[in-house]
Amino acid sequence: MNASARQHLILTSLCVFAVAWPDLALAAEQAGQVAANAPAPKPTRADYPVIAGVSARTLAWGLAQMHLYLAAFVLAVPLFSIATEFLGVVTKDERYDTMAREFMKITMAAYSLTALVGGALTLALFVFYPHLMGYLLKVFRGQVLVYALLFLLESVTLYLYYYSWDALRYGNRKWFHMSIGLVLNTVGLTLMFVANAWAAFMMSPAGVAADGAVTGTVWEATRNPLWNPLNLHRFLANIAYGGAIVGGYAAYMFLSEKDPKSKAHYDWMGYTSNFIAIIGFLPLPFAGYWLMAEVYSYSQQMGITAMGGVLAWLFIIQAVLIGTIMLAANYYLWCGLMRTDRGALYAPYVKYIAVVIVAGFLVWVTPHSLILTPAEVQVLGGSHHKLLGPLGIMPAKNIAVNLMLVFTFLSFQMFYRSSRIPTVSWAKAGNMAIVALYIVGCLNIIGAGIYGYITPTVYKVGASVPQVATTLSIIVFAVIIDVFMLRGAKTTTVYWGRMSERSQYALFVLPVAFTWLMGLMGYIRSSLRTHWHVYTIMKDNSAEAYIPTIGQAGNTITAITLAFMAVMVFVFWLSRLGTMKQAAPPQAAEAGGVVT
Amino acid sequence: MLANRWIVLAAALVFWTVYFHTIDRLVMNAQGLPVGIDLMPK
Repeated sequence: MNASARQHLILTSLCVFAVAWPDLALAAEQAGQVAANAPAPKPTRADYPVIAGVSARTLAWGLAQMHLYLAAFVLAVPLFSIATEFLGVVTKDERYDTMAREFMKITMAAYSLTALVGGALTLALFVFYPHLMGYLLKVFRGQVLVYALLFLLESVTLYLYYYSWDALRYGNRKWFHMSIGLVLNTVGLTLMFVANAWAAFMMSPAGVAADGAVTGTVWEATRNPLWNPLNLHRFLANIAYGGAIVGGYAAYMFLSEKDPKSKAHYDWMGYTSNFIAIIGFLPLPFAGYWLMAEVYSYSQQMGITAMGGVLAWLFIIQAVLIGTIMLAANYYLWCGLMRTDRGALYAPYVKYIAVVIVAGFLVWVTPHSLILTPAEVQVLGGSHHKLLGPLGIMPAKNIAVNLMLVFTFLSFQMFYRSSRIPTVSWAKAGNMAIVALYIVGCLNIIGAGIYGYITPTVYKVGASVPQVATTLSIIVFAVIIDVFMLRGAKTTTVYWGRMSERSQYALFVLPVAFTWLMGLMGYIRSSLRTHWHVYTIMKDNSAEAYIPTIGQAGNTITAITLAFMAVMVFVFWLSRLGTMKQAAPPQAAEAGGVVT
Repeated sequence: MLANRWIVLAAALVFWTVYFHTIDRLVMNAQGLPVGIDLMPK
């Protein structure tokens, strides 16, 4: 074919395409419309692929949970890494910069595993639940491709951020480096919000008709009723979780290192990580409360399934785990008092804080109803124990959790003050203002709880909001007074590294309890859909569409937690391996090699 | 100085009591749960 004929052919093809394009486009749109107007699929049991010996649900469950753990970690760490880096620039303290880089080093080791498990999860879902995945693709259409693009961007910016650290360390280049970090975090958060939209849509579908036909836009499906509560809850939880994991790493390094300088560095890193975990954790119960309130608001049935049915027992385990986190975090802070010479001044108050934390913990784990035999009911004189009745309901638990949070903050405040002596003339008056704040605030929390017992249910629920406002007020005002009072304070030495080894085990307890807790609560959230893939829209007709027993669920969650911990130990080991150097063989040393 | 400290404590107790009482009322009313000055449902 000569050049002229080729040009002719191309021109003709373009003309045919131009003429046919509107029809083709219209046909495609109509086909899309027909597909969108079709109701959600109704797969029968036979439609679910089965692979002998493989439990589809357990596999998808395990992979989804593992992906979430890793993703939560790799999304959260860059958030506080950039904050730490910024702190280094503001304070001109290189230690912050070194620590921020070290945070990222652990993330890098976990990043490829996150992608790997995410890929495996996608495959498992498409293999075992093709109808559900087809329907979700129909609802979210191009957003899935946006997600893939975001993932690509996340990878590029993550590697750029980490590997350019030393090349862009000072002056204007540092700001450019932080800008990369900012893009990384923006992309990471967007990625999480998109994934949250899918999970939230399955619980509270929007933008679809009652039969599942797609009637709205992708944005309508994304902005479903539970999306934002889930976004906030996961955002805060990720910060707390990321802090707890790097705290575990710092403890691992603290115990492994022999050099006092390195020990001091990892002690400081552990303290900072614990601080980050607490900062993320303090507002978390309130975000969780909002999420549950929205669940109730969207579907009362769903709310009752969570808090009043079989799943309610898991909230008792949740209380045990949160109590464990509180005790471990406080214990670590109390041990931290030994880092300063003035810490001993505060030590006598520790026992009172311990009493409040333990008492709060006990109230929180008190169940409202017990599973009793008729004989036991007869002995008890009713289905409720005289103590369990009042202590098992929310007003008592709200008092407990708010006081535990306030006193955890007090533990932190004590450590902070142990290395600072105020020099302002009104220091004693300032201290009295803070004492009064704690006294009145705690009485208000207790009073609002008692108020719940003597008012109708709607007021009982409403009274929890002033309790939250009180807790936040105590923290905010105490910080404000401290900031002014400790301005120009005389600082005393903090002996980083002067820390008992047993305190480091508290830092190990935190990530384990957090991981377990996330697995547990994730299971509850997902189980609220009961026998629905997409709540009230698309039924789950697979053989495993039932709520497992508490024991079975507990075992599965525990197995996933253990698997994740094994992965984390590997990641920590890998990070440490990267810092080790083999000593040069003797010949090389003699030839001028450096022996390390 | 010691007397001053206790006066400040008493004043601060009154101040924070008024503050938390106001917050309680505002928050309850903002939720559509009307309460009187004694915080009891209207």
